[in-house]
Amino acid sequence: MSAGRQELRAPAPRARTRRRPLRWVVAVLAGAFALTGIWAAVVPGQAPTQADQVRTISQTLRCPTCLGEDVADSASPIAEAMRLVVAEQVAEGRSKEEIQAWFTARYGDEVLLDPPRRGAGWVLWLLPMGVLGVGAGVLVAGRRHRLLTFGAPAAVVAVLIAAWTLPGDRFEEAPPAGADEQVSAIPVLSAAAAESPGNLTLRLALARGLEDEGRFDDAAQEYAAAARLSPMEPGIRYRHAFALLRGGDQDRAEDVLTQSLDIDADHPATLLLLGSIRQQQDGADGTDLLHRFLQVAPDHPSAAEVRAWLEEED
Amino acid sequence: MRPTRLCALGLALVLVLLTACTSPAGSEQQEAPELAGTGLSGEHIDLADHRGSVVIVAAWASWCTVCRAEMPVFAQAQQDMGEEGLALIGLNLQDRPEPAMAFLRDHDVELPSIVDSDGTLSVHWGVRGLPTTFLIDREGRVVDVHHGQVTENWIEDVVAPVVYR
Repeated sequence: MSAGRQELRAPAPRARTRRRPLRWVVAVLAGAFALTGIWAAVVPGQAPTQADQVRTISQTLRCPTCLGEDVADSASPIAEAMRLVVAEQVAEGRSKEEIQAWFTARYGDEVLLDPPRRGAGWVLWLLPMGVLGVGAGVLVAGRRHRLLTFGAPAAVVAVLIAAWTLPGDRFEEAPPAGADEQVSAIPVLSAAAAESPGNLTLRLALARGLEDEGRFDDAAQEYAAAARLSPMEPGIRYRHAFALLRGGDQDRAEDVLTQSLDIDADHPATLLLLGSIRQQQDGADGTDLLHRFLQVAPDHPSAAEVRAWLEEED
Repeated sequence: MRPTRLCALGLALVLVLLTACTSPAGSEQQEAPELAGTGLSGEHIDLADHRGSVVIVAAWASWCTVCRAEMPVFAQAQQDMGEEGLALIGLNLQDRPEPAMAFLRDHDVELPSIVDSDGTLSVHWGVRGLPTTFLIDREGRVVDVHHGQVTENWIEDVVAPVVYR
């Protein structure tokens, strides 16, 4: 029995000696991870093209007429124009911060999707980091004997947070103006859509591109094709109707909007557009549609105007 | 610290933060941005030429259904206060010349309008959607921005005091 107990106890010292190198491996890996984080934050990678910059900056701007959509991805006319202004300013060599400040001066802070970190607003940003820091401190203080094991990941987290919050313009290395000439994507999209006529994404991209170029009749045809591919999507029919309206064909736009409401009677954008058209025609159903719009989308950016408009009518 | 006091302190902090997060209103009472360009009939239009007048700058488009309702209001305002120094300039946003000109003819309104086919001029002016109307005083400052349809009440309550002051 005593010999058996000796055999059972024997491996313990060997296991302790094996753990020590393991801790060092963890520490070295954590250190390497932290250095990689710093490197990625400080040293820019491949220089972004102007188109990349325009998209990146547009993604930080809120479309003023949409619900939670950024300027980069919105199909609204004013978002189209805002993308063009961003492109102009990027071509002039302005930084992301300068362009954001330009838009803030005209549209207020709410044009930024990322709220400004100034004044008392800093507290909101610092609070989570403070909580994280206190948590890390408690963890370290409570488990001093495992300082290395827990300290290294905590340091990595702190470094990553610091790298995230460091101010820096990643666009400084961008090529000079004119190096990345904008070309129309329509021929490429047209060819791709012709090759894959059932591809909804391509069809919508082509329609939007045509709309961006002011070719509203062509855009309407592509939206109609997209609606055939996805007949139960009211948003596509709304885009179709809007392109028709911008092309001057109000009668057909009304028909398409009516179809959109047949699919989804509570589609806010359709209610707003059809309601506005009918209201102007002195149709009583225009008022009903706008009231329904307010019911289903009380927080829509246009809700306050519609409310004031209806009160004026009453 | 007692839990109730702690809660009250937390609530007060949240209220302070919420208050601090609200941003001031836009560009009212500021110098109007430059506005010059080619009109629908090919003429040159420049806001600077109207310094000394009160100017209504109206962003509109023929495809904007709400814009139709405000055209008679503009026409009436022009008739009532034109001799007192009220001028109108349109900013025709992302439109085509033919329907835009037909729109003005149909509504019988004198609204010399700068063509803003790509919408960038409107973005310079902070236009969020159509219609949007700016009131510029005789010193060239933006004194009011009206989002949505212009009404007779806005003309009486906002425009007339600036014209007659």
